[in-house]
Amino acid sequence: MGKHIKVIMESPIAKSEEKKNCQECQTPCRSACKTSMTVGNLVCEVKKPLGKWTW
Amino acid sequence: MDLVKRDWHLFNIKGEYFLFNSLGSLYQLDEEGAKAVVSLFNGLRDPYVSEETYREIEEILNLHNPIRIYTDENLTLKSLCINVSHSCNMACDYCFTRHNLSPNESLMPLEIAYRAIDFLFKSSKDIKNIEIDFFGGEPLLNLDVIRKASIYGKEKAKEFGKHLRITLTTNGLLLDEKTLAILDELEISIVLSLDGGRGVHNKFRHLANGKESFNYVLPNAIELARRRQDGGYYIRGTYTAETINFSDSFKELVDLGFKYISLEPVVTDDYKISIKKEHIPILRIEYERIAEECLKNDVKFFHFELPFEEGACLPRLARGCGAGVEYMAVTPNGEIYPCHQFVGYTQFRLGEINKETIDQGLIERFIQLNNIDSKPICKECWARYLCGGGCLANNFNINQNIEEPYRVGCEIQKLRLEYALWLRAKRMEVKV
Repeated sequence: MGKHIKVIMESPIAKSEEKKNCQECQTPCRSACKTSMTVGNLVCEVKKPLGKWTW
Repeated sequence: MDLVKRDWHLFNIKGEYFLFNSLGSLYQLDEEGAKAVVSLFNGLRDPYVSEETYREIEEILNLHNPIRIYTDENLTLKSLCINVSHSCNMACDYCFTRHNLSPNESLMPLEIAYRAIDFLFKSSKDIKNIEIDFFGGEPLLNLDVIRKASIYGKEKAKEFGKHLRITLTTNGLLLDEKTLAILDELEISIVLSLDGGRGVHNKFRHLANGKESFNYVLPNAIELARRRQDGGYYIRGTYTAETINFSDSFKELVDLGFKYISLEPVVTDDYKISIKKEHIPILRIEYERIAEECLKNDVKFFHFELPFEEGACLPRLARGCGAGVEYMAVTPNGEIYPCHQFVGYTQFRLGEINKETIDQGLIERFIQLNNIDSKPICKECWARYLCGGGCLANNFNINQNIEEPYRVGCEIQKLRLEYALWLRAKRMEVKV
């Protein structure tokens, strides 16, 4: 981008037009007794449907 | 030019500066760029920073105009935790379910498992992707119900055109080859508890008779990893104040051949082993070591595996874990709770699987709690769209208030995110 700032990634959602969640992604259970999943771990089912395994 | 702290986060790892935007953009800065950001956070302009640097920052700010988030009010249940057993063949010191565990055998009858699956299918309406998670106690004590309920669920999924994913969380003691073959055939993802090497694991994870468990669990875990080299398992461990150097455990697990690993902080009010604010600097070192290890080896540390470009949409990111709304738990006798961690706390009991009546008032409360904007602390946090607002059960267990965030957990979450972002940058081999 410039001399002092380098782009590592630009958010696709910053320009997103999506207004409604299709609800097809997983539920991100934050509990440490499982794997403390967060919304950040979620994969969008539309962009990349998961394979046979849950994660 | 406004640089708002709730939307931007400047951090330094190993002498390098990074600027993260809450919506998911990441930039690497040189020292002058970092000085400019600090000055803008303070509402000033640093006279020693060039105009050219400020112009570069303005360019990235223009890419991130405020976005209005529409929260979806028509949420439906799509994930059910089925506690097929409230018995356990182990007695781990830090187990949060100990108050629910029965000294006598307490296993879910098959009929209740079937009704739980019916409840999920009916409640999930048009949602195609649904999940069940077998949990406990130790779920493998009730393998026959797991097997029959999974077959029932899969047949029902076929009939209704849905995709059912199944997970099982186990201590691994009963995960012999015969059991593994059944779980492989049913394509059940496995979370297996193993805290690290022999010393760390045996410190807290005892058999029901008090003896060490490592020698029994390890061969089963190794066989699981051998069979599932393409995924389908996570080795998860717990670290405590007394086993705080968990990067050593991570390395031991990598050396044992595990590729999919997750290490979690204990959440407890036991002062001796609980993670406290003063541990945060140590945790930073530990997470940094794990991130370095992930960079060197083909190994997945769950908290660093953020899909970014293939991640969830913004309306989803603006909501929490789904407890009590999209996610619920069922006990062996058919009681329904907002999640597996609330089981046994009757003030959070939502209903019964056999009666088909649900406490709508409680559900409304959880809908509200799942909205990040409903929590003042979360609303102002740069990590809100990667965190989702934390674990409501942790809030309750630590603060006795589901609305008050568990602050040590917040700090740990932010640390993990910084290193996930750093790892992302390093994997892309970006140089300024």
